[in-house]
Amino acid sequence: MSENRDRETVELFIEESLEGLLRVERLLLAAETGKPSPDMMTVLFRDFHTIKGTSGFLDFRQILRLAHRAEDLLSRFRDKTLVPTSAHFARLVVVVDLLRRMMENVRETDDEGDLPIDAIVAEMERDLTEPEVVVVATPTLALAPPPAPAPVAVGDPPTPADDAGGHRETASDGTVRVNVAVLDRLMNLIGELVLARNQMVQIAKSFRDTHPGAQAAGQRLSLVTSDLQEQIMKTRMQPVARVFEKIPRMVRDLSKETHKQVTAHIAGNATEIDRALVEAIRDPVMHIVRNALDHGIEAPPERLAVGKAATGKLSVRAAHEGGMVVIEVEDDGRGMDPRKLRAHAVRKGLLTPAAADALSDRAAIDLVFMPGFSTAATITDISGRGVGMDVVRTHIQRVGGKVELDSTLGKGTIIRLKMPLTLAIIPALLVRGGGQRFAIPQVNLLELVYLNEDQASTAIETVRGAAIYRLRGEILPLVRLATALKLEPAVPARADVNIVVVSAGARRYGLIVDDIHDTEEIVIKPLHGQLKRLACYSGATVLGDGGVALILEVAGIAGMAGIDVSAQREAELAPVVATGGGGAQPYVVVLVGDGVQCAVPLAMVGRLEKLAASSLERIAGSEVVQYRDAIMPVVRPESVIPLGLAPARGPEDEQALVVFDFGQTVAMAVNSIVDIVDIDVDGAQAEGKGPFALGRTVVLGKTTLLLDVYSIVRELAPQFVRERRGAARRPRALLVDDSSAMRSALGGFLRSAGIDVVDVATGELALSELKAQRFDAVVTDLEMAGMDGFAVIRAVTLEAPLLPVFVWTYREDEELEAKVRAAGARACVHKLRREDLVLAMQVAGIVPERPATDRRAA
Amino acid sequence: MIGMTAQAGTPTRKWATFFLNEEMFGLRVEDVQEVMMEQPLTPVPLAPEHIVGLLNLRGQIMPAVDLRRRLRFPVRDASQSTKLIVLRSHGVSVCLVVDAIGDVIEVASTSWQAPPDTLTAPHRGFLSGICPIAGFVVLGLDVDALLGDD
Repeated sequence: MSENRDRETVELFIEESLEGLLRVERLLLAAETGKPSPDMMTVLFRDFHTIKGTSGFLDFRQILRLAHRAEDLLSRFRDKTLVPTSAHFARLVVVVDLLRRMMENVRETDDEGDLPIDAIVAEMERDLTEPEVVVVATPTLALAPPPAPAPVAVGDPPTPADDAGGHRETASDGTVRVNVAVLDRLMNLIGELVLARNQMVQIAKSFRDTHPGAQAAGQRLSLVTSDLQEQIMKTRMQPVARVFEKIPRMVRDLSKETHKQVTAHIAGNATEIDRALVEAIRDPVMHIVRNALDHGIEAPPERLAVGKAATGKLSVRAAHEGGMVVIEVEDDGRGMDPRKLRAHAVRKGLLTPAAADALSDRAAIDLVFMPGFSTAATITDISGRGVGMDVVRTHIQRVGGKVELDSTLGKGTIIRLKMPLTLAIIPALLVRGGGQRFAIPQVNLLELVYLNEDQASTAIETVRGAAIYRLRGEILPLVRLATALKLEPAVPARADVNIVVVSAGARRYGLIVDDIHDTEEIVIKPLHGQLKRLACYSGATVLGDGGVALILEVAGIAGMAGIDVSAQREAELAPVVATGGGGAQPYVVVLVGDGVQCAVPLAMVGRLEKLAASSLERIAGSEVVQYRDAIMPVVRPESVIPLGLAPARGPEDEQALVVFDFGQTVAMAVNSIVDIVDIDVDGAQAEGKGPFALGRTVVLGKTTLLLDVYSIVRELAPQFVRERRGAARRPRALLVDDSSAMRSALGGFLRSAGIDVVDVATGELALSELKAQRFDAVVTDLEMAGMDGFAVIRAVTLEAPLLPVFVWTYREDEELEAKVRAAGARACVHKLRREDLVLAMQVAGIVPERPATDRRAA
Repeated sequence: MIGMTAQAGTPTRKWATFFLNEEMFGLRVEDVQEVMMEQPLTPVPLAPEHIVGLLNLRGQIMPAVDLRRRLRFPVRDASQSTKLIVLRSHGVSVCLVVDAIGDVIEVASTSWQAPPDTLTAPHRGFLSGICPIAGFVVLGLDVDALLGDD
């Protein structure tokens, strides 16, 4: 290390270099697409020269090496002994990125770090070995048109010192400048051509027999058109740098203003997106960055207090991913606190306290997308402008994109914008509703569900007057398109049902349509005036046959149809808090015995089924039913609670079953299923409480017994419990720990104790495992990146309410244990006492009393 | 836009006339893009009553406004034929559904007057004057107003 390297000098060097790099980047971006001026080369050369000099002095060798090569390259451009190409500029942009990252490393760790610079240095060295050329004049293409009055870029004419970051498209190295108006016109024309092509192809089909060549010609036309469309689309592409270029400056200004230290890392500047998208995402991206600086990243004292570096990190990345553009803004700030968000939503009157409590942390974080939810704790000059994340989401949705948000309290926030590459032509599904054709953008489509007559009559349920369908356990509200658009009285003309499952942001619902046609590439034509104000359409399009179809805006239809997303969420996410705390929860109301109304928590219910009474069998004195290739025990509450006898049923009669999923399915036979209603458990409790009932309350005007499902099942299906304990199947535990060493150590121990173990490194992975297979227990570490142990407990209780969770940790105190238990875990075990874990599992009835091998063997 | 632009200072102006409920109305010829026979229209569910559908004019989609409904005239019989007038104003195209098309007439700028005060909304917003000599009403063109709320 150089003796010259004192803190102050290094700070100055970083500040100065970052400033220089900012300038360099702007000029490079301008030059990449435009005509480099000799003056510009001088400026670029000077900046690299300065960085080179100082880094040599401070003995930052990697920085020196990079800056040196860049300087060499620029000196040759300046002296006109080498003609700069866009490839050169692209390399220099990479150099800028690398240098910036090194600066950040220096700032963080006092060390430039070990970044892969060899490749880029080698490339530049290759460039330098190119033979010298004497440039007589700046090369221009012979076919270049005269300078157009309105070049592609918007903004001020660029000068080397231009701060606004304007760009010029000029003739250079195989590029020509084209007027924006011409590009727009081309785009419109290709749109027309696509439509004409679609018509032509249809006509050609009908001539198949008389003119055999017609179809081939049609196909050729089709191919050429598609290709042309793609190429023209490319002319509209611009690097996302147009949005990003203002970020470094903004970060600098804002961090000064808010007395924070922030380094911004920007990647993927060269990612290309549609010109129209550039405009559409500019404000949302800026807003998110502002938010991150304003609310996310803490002031240095606060950061230091929680053990973070004083300088916050903000990174903005753009990339192409599966036909979409993804823009990510990540900060390492304080993250969002679900508790505060819930409280805030209640304070703002957006949610009732009960509804807020029922939200999972995940859903609570999504609250920031609610209209009227201001994210600012204190309204500041920066982001407290009444523009919230809901506006961001609206903007992004308008261009067919979506917003995802991940936040970890204390660790930071990631916001991801995903958008289509282009706006003008999109794939869409054509459907028919109320005798009219409509287009649904592919981006909103999740899947298509077809229910035949029989399925439709049973699978579609009515909850509080609204039709719902359970799609793999998820409650899907249904909207009949024709009814939503008031096209015809909702007479089901056909008994079978086509459901188009759509999503718009957090909303997910099923749209019932008359018919589903093909998908087609459609050109979006905007609607004007009053039609624009109709929330249910995002535009219109001309179809292959010349007809017009309206493009459905699925979010708008959800709003009009009154789909209550919060209610839907409540039903989906409601934790099973039959025991204490929590206000109203959805319950399935059933009739049992001689007609006594009872209720069971919806969250415990896997499915509602109706089977022929004859499918119930008696095996060894217990009632069972064949269900999905397995034998499922059937319990009758009236056999433990005096509820009277259920009416006798003939073999042809239907038997209603409420199927619970306790890791293994158990069915409760009931007379009939009445409805699903919200019940406030707290208001019920006291009276009627017994070994198999939690209390009594009035629901739908009738006294209703809240059944203690677990006790009933335990009492009535002991064979079910015995089976679980039997030797037939080894119990299986899911082990969550971020240390692979710990996983292997405990995994081996548990296996030797007769327990199968699946181990995963993160809570997130644990959740997907839970969805994929059955477990008898979950063992989780507490301190983990991403989801911590508490998050795992909460998630498991949501996913499988009766699955016991054990926490194992090095920390040992009663307070922690109480907290862990309060969160829903069975026990808290010290990592050094592994046998306690097996004991705890025995107590919980998961592990047989006598394990296969001596549990102390390991 | 087709047609000619009236030169500043000329005392006459050309009007494209059409009929609605047996009254004659006029539009400035320079606002009229073209006149068409009846065309199939695609209804827009939930749209205001006077927007009777969308018209596909060579790939351009525009709303069709039934002027009878817009001006609260009696609705015409289903059997009665209509004509379409395509207007273009401020870059926005609209198609008007009218009963019949009249001649293009030339009227001195001086000969038309403000509409009488007795005329009430919704007419008021769209009518810029009447011409006693030719006996017709000049339809002031505010496309936004035509497409907008009352």
